[in-house]
Parts: sequence; structure tokens; C-alpha cells
Amino acid sequence: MIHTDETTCLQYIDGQLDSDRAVELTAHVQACAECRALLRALERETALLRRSLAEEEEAVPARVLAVPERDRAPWGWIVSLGFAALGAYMVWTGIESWQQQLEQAGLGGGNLLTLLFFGGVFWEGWKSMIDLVEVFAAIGLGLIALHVFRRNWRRWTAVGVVVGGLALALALPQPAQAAEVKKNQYSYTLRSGEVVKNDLIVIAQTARIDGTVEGDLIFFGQEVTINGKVTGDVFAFGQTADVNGVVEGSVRSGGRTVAVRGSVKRNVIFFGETTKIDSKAEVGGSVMAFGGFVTVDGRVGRDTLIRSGNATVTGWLGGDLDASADDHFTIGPTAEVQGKTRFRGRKKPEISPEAKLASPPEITMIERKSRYLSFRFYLGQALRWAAAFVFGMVLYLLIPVFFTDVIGSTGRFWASLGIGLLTLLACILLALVALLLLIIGVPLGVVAMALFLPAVYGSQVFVGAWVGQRMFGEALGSASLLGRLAVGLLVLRVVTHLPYIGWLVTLVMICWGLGALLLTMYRRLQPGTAAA
Amino acid sequence: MVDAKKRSEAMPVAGAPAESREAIARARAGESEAWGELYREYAPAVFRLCRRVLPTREDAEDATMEILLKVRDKFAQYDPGRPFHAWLFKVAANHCWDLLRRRRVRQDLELPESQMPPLEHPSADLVERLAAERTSQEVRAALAKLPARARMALVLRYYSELSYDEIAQVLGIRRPFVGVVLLRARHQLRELLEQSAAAGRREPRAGGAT
Repeated sequence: MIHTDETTCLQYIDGQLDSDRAVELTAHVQACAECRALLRALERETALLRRSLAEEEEAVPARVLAVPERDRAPWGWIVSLGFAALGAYMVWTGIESWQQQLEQAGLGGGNLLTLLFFGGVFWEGWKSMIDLVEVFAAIGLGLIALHVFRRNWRRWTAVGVVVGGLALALALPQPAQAAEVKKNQYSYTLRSGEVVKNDLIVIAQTARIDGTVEGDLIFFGQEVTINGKVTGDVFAFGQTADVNGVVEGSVRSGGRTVAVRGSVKRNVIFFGETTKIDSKAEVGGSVMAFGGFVTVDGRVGRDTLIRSGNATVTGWLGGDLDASADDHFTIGPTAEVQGKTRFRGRKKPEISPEAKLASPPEITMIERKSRYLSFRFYLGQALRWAAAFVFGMVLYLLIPVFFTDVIGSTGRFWASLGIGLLTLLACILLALVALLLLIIGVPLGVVAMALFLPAVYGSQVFVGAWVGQRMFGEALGSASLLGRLAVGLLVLRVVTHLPYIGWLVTLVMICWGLGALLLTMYRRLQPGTAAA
Repeated sequence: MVDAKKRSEAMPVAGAPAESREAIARARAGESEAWGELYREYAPAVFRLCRRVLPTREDAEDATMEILLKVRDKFAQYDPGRPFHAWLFKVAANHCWDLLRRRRVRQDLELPESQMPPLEHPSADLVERLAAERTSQEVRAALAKLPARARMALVLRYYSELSYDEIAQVLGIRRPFVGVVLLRARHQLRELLEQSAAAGRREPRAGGAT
């Protein structure tokens, strides 16, 4: 006689056996005591299992019983988008007032970055900046109040602590700085003969330094003129910086114009529209100029780096000259270059035959050809794609569970997008605030950047993996996930290069991926909460 | 024996309250108030299922909410001709399985079928003895120690009362394999129960020696 096996018995007990075989088994069991005993034992075991599973050990927690309000899930992104809209509004009004001022002054040009950083906020919008900080603080307090009254308060604990801490930090009086601070003034003058034996920070419309600063000079405002002496470095952010006196350190500046007529012992670094190193000027170190117009007429001790639209070199350069200009580049007859001369540009530079160049100039012409036709473009794209894929793969192999959780969060599009957008805006604002405390702000900013940039880069990986899973269904293992990642990244590469909307896609992608990352990290930090 | 078969067919999904057709229809039309009603009605049952398959209470709480939110968003996919709770519990089971699976993308400890040791035919006596001696509390403790798939299969079968076909769908395996998974799960469970029995016997003896 063939005995029944355990599987068949189980299926019979579970009512999953087809009727023919069930009849067969019933007949066999009636005849065979051994199988009968097994079947009975299994039935008792099944009953025990059912009983064990049915019994309740604990009550259903209140958190589950409370119907989440309609806003429960989207709350995060409503707040986020609110913040984002507020930030966008602030930036927008900042731009508008800047434009008005610009028109009144009869000026034009400049790019968006200079416009945002050195136009709106710094020399017109201090008030709106402070308003914004106050709004942030108020919203932070509001969030804390909300979280106190929320039933599902656990989720908000972290937000409350972070925002509350931020609000508190902003509300506290500024820490004492090892610097003299002059602010809330229309114009500031350090008279001739006066000495500041400290770092000097000036926030004013105009500033004039005729005396001596024995330390760094940090300036935010419209116009700064240095006729006296600064023994440290000069940081100037504003419209115009004129250096007629002596700076024993470096001049680092951003804005519209920097003009050096005096002496700078170390380097001059400038981001902005016009850089002018006058014929009387003497720069001990190197000159780095990024902007529209660059004129180097004076003496430069070391190398000169120029990235601009138009540039003219007629001075004496102790080191190399490395220039690129979109438009015109001229080396005049009085110019003298001790090192090598290199040029990259679209138009042929005008080099006077009388100019004294230590070595024949290396000239590289950039051909104006549609980049979509060149092989290099595709090679570059392929390399970037591969780099992103390798980055994603390493990330996945290092932290697989976290990685898949982030992709899960990517599915919550609006929440992720809102949080990402908010974070980007918050970072810009915090960077501006950090500039106030420049001395600690700079290293802090560098550290933040070092963490932030990989996160921004990583955003394409998460979004890519999500796109891949959208196309081919959810991945079931490492290999299939990586395959989907590869395809998703390829799709992103194409989409972000679409004409007109490519930049928008890129922005959305960065916000989205970054938001998903933060969302997951936030959930992870919540004690005892599943990262879904 | 016969009534065991009948029961599993007739009994509704465990813990599911009676259906309120009208609320379901309204919720399906997108009424958030009706969804709230359904939530109140079904959340405890969904939670109980999640609590049995997911490792921690917090996981189960989160999953419950996520499942019901998912249901709200996916209501269009619900075929009103079929029982609502069956659909709901399938969504729930899928969600939980998804969670579990996603967490162990790499640390999957379950061996492929070919590498598993063959199962010995159990003696009726042993099964009978375990079923008689073990308390439901001990069974639950043992269940918690099972690998995710084994536990999931047992819960879906003996708590949610899903058919083999439905379990196959949720776990993403072929129908004939469901029986094998359940069989292995029960063997593993028996092993754990025997171990706990052995440990339980040792302890009082050690206490007596001192």
C-alpha cells in the first residue's frame, strides 16, 4: 500500500486538494491507521497554528486607529512647497527691484548669479533678507506648535527640533566676533590717519578706507574705495571695488567692477563684469579674472589667468599668461610676458608684433560647430553615463537596503520634489547667512558643499533607478536593479539634453532625487519607524 | 476533516469586519469621508495582519497607513464584483511582502530549493506531542524566528486564509511550490518548537542543581 505523504495531507487539510485525490485520500486514511494518525496530528497542529495566529497579544495602537487626515501624507510637501513658493517669491521680488534700480542707473547686462547675489540681496535687499529670516523663524515656531498638537507627533519630532534649533540660532544675538563690524550705515569712512587694529567688516552702501586696517577688510555693499592700507586680505562683494592704496594680502572680490590702481602684494581674484589692472598697478602675486571685460595694463608678478569675453593685455607679466576669450583678445605692443602665453578662443587673437613674449604663443581655436554633430560630445556623454552608473553601483553595493529605500521614496514624487526644492533654496539662504559670519562661514560652507555635491550628483542615480523600474517593472535582485539603473540613466541623459526644457528636467531631477534621499534619511533617523 | 475544508472556503478573510458596500462605492468614487469610514473599519484588521508578518510594531503601524493610503489611490483597480476585504488583504499582503523582500535584497538567507536538505517524513507522534504540549505563545515566539517567506506563507494561509493560488501570487512563486513552502515552514517551526522544548526542560533542571 502506498502511504500518503505529508504535502498531500496538508493540502487536504487546507482544502486545496482536487476532489479526485481528496476522495482517494479519504479512502486510504480509512484503511490505514498510520496515515490516519499523521493526518490527525497535522490537523491538530494546524488548529494550534490557527489559534496562535488568531490570538491577540496587544491592542491595536491608537496611532493606527486614528484616521489620518487627508493631509497626513502630503503634509510634508505642502509645507515644503509653501516654503519653496515663499523663497521663490523673495528671490523674484529681489530680482525685480534690482532690475528697477538697474534701469534707473542706466545699466544693463550681468548674469543671473551676479544679479542674485550681488544685486538683489546684498545692496538693496538687506531688509527683505532680514524679513525672510524672520519669516523662517516664525514658520519654525509654527511647526513646533503644530507638532505639539499632532497625534502622529513622532514624525514631526525631528523636524521640530531642527527648525526650532534653527529659529533659536537666528533669534540669539550674534556671537561676538574677533572683528569690528560696521553696519546699518549709509556710508562708512575710515579717515586718513585712523587705524583699525582688527579685522574690519563693513556693511554699507559705500565705504572709503583712507586710513589703515591692520587685518582683513570684508565689505558688502555697493562701492568700496581703498586709498589707505590694508595689511590683511580684502574681501569685497558689491558693485565696485577700487584699490588705489596698498593691500598687503590678496584681493578677492565679486561684483561688477574691480579696478586696481595701487599695489596688491599677493593675488587678485575677481568674479564679475569688469576687471581692470591699471597701468600704475602692481600685483605681487597672480591675477585671476572671470568676467566680461578684462584689462591688464600694470605689473603682475606671477601668472595671469583670464576667462572672459573681451580681454586686453598691455602690461608686464612675470609669469604665464593663460587666457580664453569668447570675443576679442588683444596683446598690445607694450605687453611683456616672461612665461608662456596660451590662448583658447573662437576668434583669432590680435597679438602685436612689438609685444615681448618669452615664448611663441600657443593658440587653440575652438570651432563653432553644433556639438551634437561632434563625436566628442557623444563620447563625453557616454563617459558621464558610465560614471553615473559606476557611482550608482558602488552606492548600491555599499548600502543596498538604504539604496532601495531611497528609490521607494522616489515614488513619492511630490513629497520628494518639494523637500528637494526647499533644501536647495534653504542652502542658498543659509549660504548667504553664513557669509555674515564669514570667518567660520567659509570652512563651514566648504564642508557643507563636500557633502552636498555628492548628494546632488547622486540624485540622478535614484531618479534613474526609478525610471528604469517604471519601464521594466520592479527589480527582483541586484542584477536586474543595476540593469534598470543603467537604462534609466540613459533615458535621463537623453531627456536632460532636450532643447529648451532640458535644464528644467535637470532641476526637477536634482530636487526630486535629493528630496527622496532626504526623505529616506529622515525616516531612518526616526526611531522605530519603517523606511518604506 | 471535511469541515476543515469547508471552513477554509466559507470563512471570510480573518479579522475583516462585515462589508459596508455603500461606503466602498463612495470611497471608490473618491469621497475622502467614505474612505475615512473604511479606514476606521479595516485599519485594525490590516494592522493585525501586518503585525504578524512584519518584524516590529512600528513597521506594522507604518505599513497599515501606507496600505490604506495605497488603497485610496488605487481604488480604480478594485473590481466591485469581488469582495472588498479580499482585495484589500491582497493589497496588504503584497505591500508587506514587498517591504520584506526589499529589505533583504542582498542578505537573502534563504537557500535555493535545490540546496535545501530533503525533508524527513515526520512521525505522527512527534507532531501530535508538539501540538498538544506547545502553547500558542510559544508558537508565536517560534513564528517570529522563521525566515520571512516561511512566516509570510503561514500567516497568509492560517491567518488570512488565502488559497494556494493567492499565496502564489503574493509571494511570486508557482502554485505547486506553495505546498512545498508551507511544508518547509512547518518543519522549520517544529524544529524551533522542539528546541524551545529542550531549552525549557534544561532550565528547571539547572535551577534544581543549585
